[in-house]
Amino acid sequence: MEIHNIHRNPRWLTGLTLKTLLFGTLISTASTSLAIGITDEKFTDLAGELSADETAVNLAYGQLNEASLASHFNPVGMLLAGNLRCTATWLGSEEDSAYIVTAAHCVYGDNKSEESRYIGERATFRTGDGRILAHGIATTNFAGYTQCSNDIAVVELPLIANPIDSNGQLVPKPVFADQPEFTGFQYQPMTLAGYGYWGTPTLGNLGWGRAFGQGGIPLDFGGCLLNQADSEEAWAFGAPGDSGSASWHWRDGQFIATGIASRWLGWAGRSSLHTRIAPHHQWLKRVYPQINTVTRSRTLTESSPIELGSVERSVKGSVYYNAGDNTLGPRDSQWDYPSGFTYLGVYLTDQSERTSRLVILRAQRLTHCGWGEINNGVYCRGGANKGDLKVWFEHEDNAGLVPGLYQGTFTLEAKGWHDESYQSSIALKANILVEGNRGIEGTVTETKATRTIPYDSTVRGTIYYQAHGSTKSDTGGPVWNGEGGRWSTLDVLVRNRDTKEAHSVKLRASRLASGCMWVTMNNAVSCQGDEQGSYGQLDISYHESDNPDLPDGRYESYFNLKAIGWHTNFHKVLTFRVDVNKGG
Amino acid sequence: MKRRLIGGALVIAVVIAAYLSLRVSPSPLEGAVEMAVPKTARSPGTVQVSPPSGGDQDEVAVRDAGPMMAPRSDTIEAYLRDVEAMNPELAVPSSPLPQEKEEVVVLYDLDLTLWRASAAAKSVFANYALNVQLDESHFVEFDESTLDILEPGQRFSLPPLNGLSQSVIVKTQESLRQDAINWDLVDDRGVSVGSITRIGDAVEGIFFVSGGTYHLRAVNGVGWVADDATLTAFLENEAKASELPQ
Repeated sequence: MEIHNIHRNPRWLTGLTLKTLLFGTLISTASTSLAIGITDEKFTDLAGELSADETAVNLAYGQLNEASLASHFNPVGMLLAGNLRCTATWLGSEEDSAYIVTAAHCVYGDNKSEESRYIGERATFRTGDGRILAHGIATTNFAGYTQCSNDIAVVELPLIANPIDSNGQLVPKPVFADQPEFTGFQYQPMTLAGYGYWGTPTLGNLGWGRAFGQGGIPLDFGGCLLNQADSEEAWAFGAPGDSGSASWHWRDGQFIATGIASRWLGWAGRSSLHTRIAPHHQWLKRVYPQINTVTRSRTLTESSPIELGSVERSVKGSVYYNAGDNTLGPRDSQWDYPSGFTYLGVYLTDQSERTSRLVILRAQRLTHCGWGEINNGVYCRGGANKGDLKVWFEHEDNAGLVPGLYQGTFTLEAKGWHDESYQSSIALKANILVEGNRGIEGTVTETKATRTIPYDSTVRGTIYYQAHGSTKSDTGGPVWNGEGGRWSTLDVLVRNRDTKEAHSVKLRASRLASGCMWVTMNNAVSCQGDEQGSYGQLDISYHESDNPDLPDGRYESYFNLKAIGWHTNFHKVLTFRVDVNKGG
Repeated sequence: MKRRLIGGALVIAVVIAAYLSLRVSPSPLEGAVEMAVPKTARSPGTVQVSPPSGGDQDEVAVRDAGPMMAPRSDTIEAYLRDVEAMNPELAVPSSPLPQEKEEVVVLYDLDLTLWRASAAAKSVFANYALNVQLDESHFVEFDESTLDILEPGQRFSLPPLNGLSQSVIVKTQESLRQDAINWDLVDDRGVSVGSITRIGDAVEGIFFVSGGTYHLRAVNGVGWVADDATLTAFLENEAKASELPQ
């Protein structure tokens, strides 16, 4: 094929403006494409009549299309895998890869019925405005697809561009359900957004495109959620093309993906079936360790606050917060100009000592006048439609805490000021690493062991070591024997820096019993002829081969061991730091 | 003159006094450390702080604009009345935005054919793809060399989609990750009609035309063009449940 002539035509001056060219409306584009089935009643409500006339269809579905482009649906896009077109949701991007969740029946696999991975299908993922986000040969992960309850797959694709919002900002990772209980979502409005057929039970297929809808989940068939469009509140159901789309629930200011569209029951059936996501959360974390979950997004660390969105979105009137039963803080309410913040006190477990300690946190609630105290129910001009909650940790409030990993849960009670029927207990977690150098024996990393001084030299006789606090050892009480070349295995609680989750890492701990013999740390043996002071060091090291099940990531913590005299009542608590980067 | 000097001195003194009072006041955080148990927000000792970093700057602006705190009300009905009273502008149509000066741009007509139908392309494309269910009528030969000359401002026609030809204008050209290049396309009214993206040996396209949304996929010069309905049809039988799950 030849390259054809380019005709320059300077006289071709049209009314076309640069502005029009550059900022052509996406809404107009969306209106040309016609995904969600809705009830006849809802169609009539939106269009004014129950008619397949193009004007009526555009009137009804134009509104649903526009609603599907709301910012909280930014991660929703279309996946073209092989020659199948489905809906999918961007989970997040890491380095050069994008991770996308969809239905297993939308993508190719050679062993789908087992937990498996298939590499080889070409796929493209686009966001709502048609912008290409990822393309290439996919690595597709299956949880083991046999039916609706496990119709879920995660596709890893080469990243072309990260999703951005209308302000040019990176779209935040969506939040996925990981809590095993379902009762909180049952009978609550479920939000749908996807690409596919439009239609109603009476009118049948009306067209194509992206649309928003609201359904409801009355039943959970063992991990398969039934969505029935049979009321004013639940009027939408998934249709072909919508397969793989996430279904969402608002809860405490978070928009949470709880299901994946799997099947439908025809126009007359007015129902769709959705794979429940929460039972697959461990699998999801294995295939995409950085996935954002409800638990992770509600975990506080020393550097990342908990931030919940506009809790007032689904409540009439304003929402304020009180301290829960296990939390020190306000139990009353006020109505005043918002300013400052609220101190909270929570009892967290210092894992080094396995002791409960009071940790001070700060919290704020958002209004149109800015941030203020959490128990202040005031709103400002614009109405009560914020109520965002922020909880964070400040080192200066907690100067007295010793270095360690502080873990625990606490609750805040969200209460409706005007709508007193609204009450929600918000469970939050803390995984706070309090840093410090004072009194630290040393740091264990993935490449470097740490070794103490020969503590035997500081006392008469010998010493041995024992686990302390939450740290566990596979060797028990003190022993005296000559079994060399041994070590104790420690289980130390650590925190993943990125996911904020707690894990257990295995470390080796050996005591130098003489110049040439390493023994388990609880072995106080000494050898005749050794000069006192030349032995008794404790060596602690990390070995990847001891931690095959530990996911890749950066793990940090502090832990304590006790040095104890065999011949004397010597007793000293030794604190170590662990900082291990696995797979880095 | 003397009176003016005295007045100026007084102003300076007040400013210095205010500055010193700020300097010598204990910082709120010192108070925080001293407390035995956390204060509630209502206590007089509540710390006055700016919104934390990353705070909503718009909120600060609103706050500076004047007192807009809502009156206290305890019922939903009273709340709704208050919101209406506080937001009278919501009931008034907003004034039209000022018209921006229009800029006229020069476009260049371009005579090119991005792709042409080729039933034979299916057997070649099978080398690059799995399980292609589309029939031969969807297959095309794609002239990748045409992409080398695309640039913003050019106007050309897409090969017929659903029997209709579509004139498109290259709005932008953008380099992306994976050495990909993307061309956004608009129609004569400036409305987006899709995009073409070259990524290595592949070309991906999406076209929003009156007949629906069409997808293009080509690898090494061969590929297919098909609309949403065709691409979803293969799913329909699988997605339609004949019975509830076990």
